[in-house]
Amino acid sequence: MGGSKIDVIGQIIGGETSRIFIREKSGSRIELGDLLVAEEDDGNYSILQVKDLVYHSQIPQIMRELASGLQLEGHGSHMEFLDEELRNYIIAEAKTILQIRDNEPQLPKTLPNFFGQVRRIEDDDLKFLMEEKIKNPLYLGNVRSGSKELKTSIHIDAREAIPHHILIPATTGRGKSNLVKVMLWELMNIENIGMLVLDPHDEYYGRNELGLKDHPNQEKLRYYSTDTSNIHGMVESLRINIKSIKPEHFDGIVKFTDAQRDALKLYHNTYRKEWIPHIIREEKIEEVESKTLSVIRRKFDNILGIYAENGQIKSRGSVFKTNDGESTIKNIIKSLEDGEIVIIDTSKLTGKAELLVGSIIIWAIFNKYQKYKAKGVLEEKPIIGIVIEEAPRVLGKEVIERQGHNIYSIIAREGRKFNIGLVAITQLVSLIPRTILANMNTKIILGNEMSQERAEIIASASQDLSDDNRTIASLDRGEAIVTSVFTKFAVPIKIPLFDEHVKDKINKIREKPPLLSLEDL
Amino acid sequence: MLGVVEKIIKALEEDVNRGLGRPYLQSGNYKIYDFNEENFKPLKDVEPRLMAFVDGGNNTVLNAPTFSLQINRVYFNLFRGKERQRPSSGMPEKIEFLSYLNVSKDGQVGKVKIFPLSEEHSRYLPREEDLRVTLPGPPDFYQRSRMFSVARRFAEWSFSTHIIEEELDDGDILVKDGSLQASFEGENKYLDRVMKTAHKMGINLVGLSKTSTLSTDTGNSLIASIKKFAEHKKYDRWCYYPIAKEIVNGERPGSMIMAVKLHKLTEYIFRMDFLKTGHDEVEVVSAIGENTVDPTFPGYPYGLIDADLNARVRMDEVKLYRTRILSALSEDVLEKLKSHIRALDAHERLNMIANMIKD
Repeated sequence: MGGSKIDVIGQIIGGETSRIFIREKSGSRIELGDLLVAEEDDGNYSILQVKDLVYHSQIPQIMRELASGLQLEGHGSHMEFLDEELRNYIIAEAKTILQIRDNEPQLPKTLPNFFGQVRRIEDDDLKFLMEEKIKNPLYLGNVRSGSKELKTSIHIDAREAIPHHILIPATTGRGKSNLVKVMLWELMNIENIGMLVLDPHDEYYGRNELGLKDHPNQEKLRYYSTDTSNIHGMVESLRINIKSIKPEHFDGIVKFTDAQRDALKLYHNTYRKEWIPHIIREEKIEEVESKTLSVIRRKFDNILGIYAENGQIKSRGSVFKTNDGESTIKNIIKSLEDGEIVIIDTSKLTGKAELLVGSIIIWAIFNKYQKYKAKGVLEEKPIIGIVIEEAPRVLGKEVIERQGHNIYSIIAREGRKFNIGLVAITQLVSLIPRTILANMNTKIILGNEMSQERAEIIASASQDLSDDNRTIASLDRGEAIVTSVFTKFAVPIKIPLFDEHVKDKINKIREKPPLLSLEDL
Repeated sequence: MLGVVEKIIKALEEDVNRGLGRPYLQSGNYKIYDFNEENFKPLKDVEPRLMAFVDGGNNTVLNAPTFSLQINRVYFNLFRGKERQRPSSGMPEKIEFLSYLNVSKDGQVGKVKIFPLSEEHSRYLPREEDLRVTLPGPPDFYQRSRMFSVARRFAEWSFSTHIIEEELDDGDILVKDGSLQASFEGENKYLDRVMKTAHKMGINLVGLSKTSTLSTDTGNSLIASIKKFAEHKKYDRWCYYPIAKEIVNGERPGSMIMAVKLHKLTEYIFRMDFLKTGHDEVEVVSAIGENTVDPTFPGYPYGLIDADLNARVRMDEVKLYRTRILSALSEDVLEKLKSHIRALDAHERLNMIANMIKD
């Protein structure tokens, strides 16, 4: 840093606190989102981020139009702009995102030096990030300057960030699955974090490709699937006995009228674990009308695939069972409490069934953790994270208004108190109420070309991203901005490709010499 | 009205259809040459040469009937063909100074004191004792205002002499905005010095005039006449010489006046004053032509456009100096000064009102 000759790529020529104008040195190719450093004499420096790039010229517009016309119409071979690099140039509009004073990062309160020269950021400039002591570091990627990846890695404290909820907004093809895969891989290295992953595309375990099953700590992984054929590793059959289902599990997931909901409770209170068979067999309770009972039965048939045949309760589907899967929920809860990663392959399930499976599990863990808190032992327990895709299905304004709150929205509002958090993935942030978005204290923003969605993301970010509209739109696959109450600034990152990241990790382990066994000794 | 317009059109037609006539120069120091088609020479593609372009600018800080304070700037740049070069000698690219023109009590003589803004610039400036001018005719403002630029003009010559000595070499070119003719008493001394230096060092000294009042003896514009004459020739770019040659007795050759069309796509023909050092006039003009390809003003050297922009003294700079000087004056001096200034600033006030209306 200070003292040595710097590789200047621009010079500050004016602006204001939120828009600093930097004239680009010709050929420097400053990029949108680039991180630049403006040094001061005392070794302190400011980190600026490029928010916009604008053409400027000393040549009047009319002259440029004429020159262009001459060239386009074939008269330009005898003409060229002289001193082109002096007269035609690019102004980068940047914002100071951080000031480093005595090696301590601070929010910017002063402007960098007028006419100060700027250079590209280097890993050394981010030493303060590397020196940060994070107890449970969850690696997200490396710091990115424009499209250039630095060596400095970005971590957030998983035990802090997950209960405060993580939102991953992105449109298709911007790398959200890859990000979640990388995050889960990294979470498998951290103790005392239980993760429930509802996996509607069956993409995290790595059934036929590299996945979490290849992790060195694979014993921490539990994989539940309805399809256990042709699979290596420790797959467990996703079978849930209908005795595990309670009326509240349907809250906000399946639409019931008040009368129907009352009926559900009544049947549950009356028949406890056998309540569903009684409904399916349409065994009447006095207070419940036949019509109501009939509708509920039909709904259960549709969603659970449970029906009665000659008085016998049968299951049509592969998940909800009448005489099997009694310990599934219990086992899943135990795994989560043991700090394991539980993947539920819901790829063969309908959307409603998937949410219902999640609801059953989450209600169970939520109730347990409420009790732990009441007993004062909550802090001894692992924190719980729930990965849910297409989050507006359960967190959407309309859904909540129409069907009332569900366990996912309850977790979004209250989960933090019980160390349970969501990792919510969505393409449509605008469908989620502001109150819930505001509760999601870490957002890993991937590229998004929809302006309305960008506006919502920006409005609910933990840092001021008001100038990042274009930057978010231009984020390429694997590029992201991490905005969090746990980071000093909105950090642009490059997420590694899962396959490369994993291969690298697996190779490192393989390279280690094998430990000598007792017999060898 | 219709009759008036027709009369004007008739008069214009007569004027533009006049015969070419012979070149005519007011100054008797030149030998005039008749028009001759053989004097047109096409420009060539040549190896780029090192060229220095020089221009100056001045603007009024304070002005009263008895004095005038000017801020002056003289600037040069270097190009080899189309490529800008850095000065190699370490001399400054621009010199700046304040000049104070003071009129004698009888109103006939103006003396100029100069105040360089940096002491390092002193060596490039003219000597104060040379900046003594006899004011032309009755002491009216507009005649006198021409005198404001005397210090700047002298400084342009003295700075040019240094540029030739310190930055240029045999065969290089110095192009100055304007002609190589003196306008002020005592100016010839500086002009002669730069010409002698150029000749001695083998430097081609060129003055390029954006406007020319040269005419023919039939009253036509000389440049327009040559343009018309050039229509017979199908050259894309050319130079025409000699139009006139300076008659000198002494250590240097006389300069030559020529007309040049420096770019294929230009309509502009310029007067060029040329103090040559060899017999390669066409090559030298062609080399200058290489610098005229910028689309902002095809046919005019970009080096001079750049020199003009950098030498220009803008009004905001003037205001800055005016404020600094006026704020440092004592109250009674300031009061007296105001009455002097008001004697002349009504014109400025009128301009200000006109600008406000325009806005």
